[in-house]
Amino acid sequence: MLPVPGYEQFCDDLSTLLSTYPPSFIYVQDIESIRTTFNVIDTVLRDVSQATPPQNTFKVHYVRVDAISCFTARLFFETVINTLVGWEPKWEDGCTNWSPENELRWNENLDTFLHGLRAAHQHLCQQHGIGATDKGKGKQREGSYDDVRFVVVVERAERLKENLPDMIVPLTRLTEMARVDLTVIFVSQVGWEHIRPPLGASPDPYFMDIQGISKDNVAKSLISNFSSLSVSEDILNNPYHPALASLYTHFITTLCDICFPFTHDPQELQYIAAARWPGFVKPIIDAYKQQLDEQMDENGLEFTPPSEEVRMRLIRYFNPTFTSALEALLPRLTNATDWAKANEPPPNLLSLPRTSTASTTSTSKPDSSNIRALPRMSKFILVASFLASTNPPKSDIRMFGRGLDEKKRRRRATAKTSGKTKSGAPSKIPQRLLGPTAFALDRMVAILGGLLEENDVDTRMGGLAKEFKIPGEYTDMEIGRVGVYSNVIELTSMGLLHRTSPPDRLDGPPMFKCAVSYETTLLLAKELDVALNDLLWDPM
Amino acid sequence: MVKRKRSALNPDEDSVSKRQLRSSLAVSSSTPSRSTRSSAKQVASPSKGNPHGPLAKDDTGDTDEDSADELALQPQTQSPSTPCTGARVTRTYGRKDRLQYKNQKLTDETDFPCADPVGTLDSDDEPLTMKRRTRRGKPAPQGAEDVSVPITEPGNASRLVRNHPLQSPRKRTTRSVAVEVTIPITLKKANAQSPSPHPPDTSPSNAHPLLSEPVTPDIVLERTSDRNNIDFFSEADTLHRDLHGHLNEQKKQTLLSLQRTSSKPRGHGEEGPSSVNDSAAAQLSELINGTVMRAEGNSCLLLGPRSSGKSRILESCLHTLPMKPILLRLSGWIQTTDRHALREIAVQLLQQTGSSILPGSESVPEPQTNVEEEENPFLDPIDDATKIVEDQNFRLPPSSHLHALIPILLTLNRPVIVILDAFDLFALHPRQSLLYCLLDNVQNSRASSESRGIAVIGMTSRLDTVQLLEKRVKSRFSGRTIRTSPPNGFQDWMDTMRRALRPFLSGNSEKSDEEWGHWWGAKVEEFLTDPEVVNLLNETFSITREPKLMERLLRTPILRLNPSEPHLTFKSLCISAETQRARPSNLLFTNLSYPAMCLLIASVHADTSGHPIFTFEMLFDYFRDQLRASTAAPVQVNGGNIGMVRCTREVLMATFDGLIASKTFVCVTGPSSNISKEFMKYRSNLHRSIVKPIIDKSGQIHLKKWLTKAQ
Repeated sequence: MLPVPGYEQFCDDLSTLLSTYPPSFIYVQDIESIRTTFNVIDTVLRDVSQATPPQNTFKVHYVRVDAISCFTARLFFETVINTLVGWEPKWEDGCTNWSPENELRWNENLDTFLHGLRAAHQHLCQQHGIGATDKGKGKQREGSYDDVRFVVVVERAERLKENLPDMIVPLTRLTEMARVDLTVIFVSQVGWEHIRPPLGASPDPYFMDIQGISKDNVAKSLISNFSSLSVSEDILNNPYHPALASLYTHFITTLCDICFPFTHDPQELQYIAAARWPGFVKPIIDAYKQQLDEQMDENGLEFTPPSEEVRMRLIRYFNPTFTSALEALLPRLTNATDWAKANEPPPNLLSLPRTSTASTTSTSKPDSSNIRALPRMSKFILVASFLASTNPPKSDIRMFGRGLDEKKRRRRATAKTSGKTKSGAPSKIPQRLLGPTAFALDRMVAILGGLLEENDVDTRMGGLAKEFKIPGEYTDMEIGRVGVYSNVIELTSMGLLHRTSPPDRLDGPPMFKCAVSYETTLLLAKELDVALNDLLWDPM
Repeated sequence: MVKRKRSALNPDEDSVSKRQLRSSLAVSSSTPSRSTRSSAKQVASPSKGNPHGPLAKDDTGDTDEDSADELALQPQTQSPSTPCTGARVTRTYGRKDRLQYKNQKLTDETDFPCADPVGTLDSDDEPLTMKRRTRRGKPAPQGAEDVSVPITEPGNASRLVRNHPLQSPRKRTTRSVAVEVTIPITLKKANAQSPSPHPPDTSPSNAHPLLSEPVTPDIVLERTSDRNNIDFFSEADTLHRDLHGHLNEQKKQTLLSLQRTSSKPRGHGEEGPSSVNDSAAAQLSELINGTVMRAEGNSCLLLGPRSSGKSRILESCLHTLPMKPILLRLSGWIQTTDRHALREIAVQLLQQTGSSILPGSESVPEPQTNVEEEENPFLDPIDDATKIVEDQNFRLPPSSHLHALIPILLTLNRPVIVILDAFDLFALHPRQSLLYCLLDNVQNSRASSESRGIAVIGMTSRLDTVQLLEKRVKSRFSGRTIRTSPPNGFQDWMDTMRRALRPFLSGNSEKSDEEWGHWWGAKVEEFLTDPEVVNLLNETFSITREPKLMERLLRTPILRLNPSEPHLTFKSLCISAETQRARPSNLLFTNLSYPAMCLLIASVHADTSGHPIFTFEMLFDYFRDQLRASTAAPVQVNGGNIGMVRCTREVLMATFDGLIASKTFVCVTGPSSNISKEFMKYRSNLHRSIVKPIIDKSGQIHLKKWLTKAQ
């Protein structure tokens, strides 16, 4: 398999090292496209391990260990040794591990693991006829290996620091401890300086860095994947038919032009391409199908690649959808299949006027529809709790208080968030950006009262109003209802409020925290006709 | 290229070209694949005119003739008594080269590839770089195209010497006295070493079996059969195809020798006092011999900084022992508790003696009596090896009996050597009971007559290890500390490096191999005496003396050797130094995506406004403000908007996650279930001074402007 464009030097270096005399500990760092790096390393290792004596006199056995899935030492040990000796635990055998001749259990701790490694090495040496068999002959046979070499690749090595902190030092010194020909490769997004154990306990690795992959190389590697995606000969079912390869090249080039600035990960770009490409070629395939139907010929007519003009039209038409695909798929707001379904082109695309462009369906946030369906009082509670979480308690009297003198609401003086205040101290960051603070339930209820009194009085039925002489008395009754409290509990169970105090605490009011974002609250406030921005202490 | 053409057109423009012409006319001509490179060499070596003559005579004769005028100018470069032809030839051609350079310096001003990433070039160095380049891309006059050398072995041999001097001596022409003095010595060494098929064993790497087998015989065959005209470079700068095998073998061997660099200075170190490591090795082997031969109870501490050769010295001492003691290897990194350590001792005893020493689970009584019973099996050490194979049911003693293991060590029938790697960590175990037992045993061993000797050897790099020991442990420890040290002089360091770079390639004395060896040696010398290289290495040496670093530093240049650049260069060393030595924080951040750069700039803004700890919302707020400001007054250049590119909150959030994954942003609070993701508090690992070059390099004007706003 050809190396991924941009990785040639790395592949060359790594395979040279592994087939000659590698350092005992290699550290590969890649910030942006680590999954591609995993694949590249795997390819290199597979090639090296399959090389026969003239090229490589060491029989390489390798194992890739994912530090995420191997979160305990035992899992780690079992993965390493079972894979190295090519043992697969079977359900029928009770999932037993590989066992060396002396039946030593090697998965209990590091000591036994090292013994297991040595036993595995010995086992493989015997298997390949290295060592003991050559003694009698005096000279090694032609085409035999010199030694068995182990390569242990630890992927996402930064996880070791959290999961297996005791393993880092032994792993980095594994060669000297196990005393077999072994190389450990850490692959990580994180620099060695973040993982390095204290006191200089680990030797420094040989660093191999993967520089960011360039746009041309990404495009090249995506294009080179085209042939491997092709599943069938039938062009009607296979959008990756070889006849479409040149169109795909243009498609990928355009896609990379648009999306590459936003993400450099080839896998993400491939994902976006996979979502867009079937829709992109659908008009062409449809046209071809129509031609076939019209012709009614058994032999069918040859599929001709689209003309330059059709290609330009397609690209112009679909251009805006690339960005929307990126915006929906990079944060995984939806998945590629759903997105492709939602953004299929109209059936008669090629007959549309040339200037038309695709309109994209906006992917709405999943929770907004839920929130819209809430009862009116719950919406008020959410707005009130947002205010309680965002405004400082001291400001409440100024924001919601209504004295006889009708003092005007005064908000905080407008201060720019960047820069410093006159006294030189850093300016305060609006609470909206720092996240919600916890509030006492009583305070929220009081704010709720204020909100209701200002915005909800007119909607109530007039009949009951006679009983209440004092202004605000009705609202007082409203906020004292059990319904409000049960609403709060319900909202908490929906995850729209967080209860920060333990439920079994008796003293003091229960504390809550708002869990809806500013945007959502703004939406709610608009529905309730509340001027939210006027009620916020920090100016927007 | 320009230069080459010009010179080719005017072959008579100076005296050198004249001589080129003359020498090229003097030789017979046949092969069109003659390289420009080789013609350059021929120019420098008029002896080509007489290729059939005996090598030494031929070359020396020419040497005397051509360099007679220059000897008067520089008499100090070599003592006249040096018998080695190679060195003399080298010197002479060096002068000739200089002549050429001087002339070419006047004519060639075109190519000036002064690549100097470090910026250490002073004005004095610049002409040198130019000269070197000039020589490499030497013009090929028309006449020289057809030059060929007879195929016969003498011809090869003579070329060998001619090739070799060409590469190395340029420095003596203009460089300082210090360099001039070193070169004759090193060349003498090179010559003394390389011609003999089995030179003295200069490094441990020579012990490798690969060295004893012939190198790539197929290539040799091809050479003798069809190649009439063998030279090192087929194209302008590409190594000849036939020599790729040599290059690969050289790479391989050099990587091997890098893997096994020894920090022990050898060679001309005899006259000085013996090095620290030599005396350490002597002391240690004396101590181990005492245990093995005279059944002494010994304990010592091997103390030295990282990769200063502690383990290597110990292994070499163990290797030379007349008989095989029982080796118990423990490491503080693995055996984190005394119980683990005891178990491990039991396992290793089991493996080396062949059966369980303590009673199995089936019974019973006191360990003492069992020891008496179990002693017998070990009286016959010959059985041991077979026993290990036969004994299929390895069984460990029950854990309750493990503590009795250590006294048993004394009763075994072979001396025991206990090696404690990371000794300081054992001292941190509670009550230091393992150390106490072991060292107590060592003392008892002195008293008892029937013991076979035990040695406890600790290895550590921690200086205050002895102070860590408790009083009762310390009093049992002999207190003997053997120190090792990395090479402590720059010259030692360079010698180590030279040894590592010039492993002996092959055992057979094939002409081609020898030729290659000479050429490679000359190239290594040239590399190691290049003032830029020396400067960089000196810099490295002043920071750290760790031999491992040297090994890492040299590995990349060796790996990057390829046919088009078959020798070590300063450039490749620079690349290596950047990635291996002190890694700059922005090393991998050269090519970030647009949202990532935006987030980084926003974090710089947050930092400069006094909030080093930020949330995603804050960064997004900065970004939104900037975007708003940028789009409020759109700037159009050639009809295109060069303002900030819009970026949705979700995309930024996804990028933010990526930056967290790469630990660019580090979470400062613990994970909490009731703080949502955008309000988690982070701080940035990249300071403004690191972000700035990243943004500058990206070349996006609006981002640069935004960053400069943060003051």
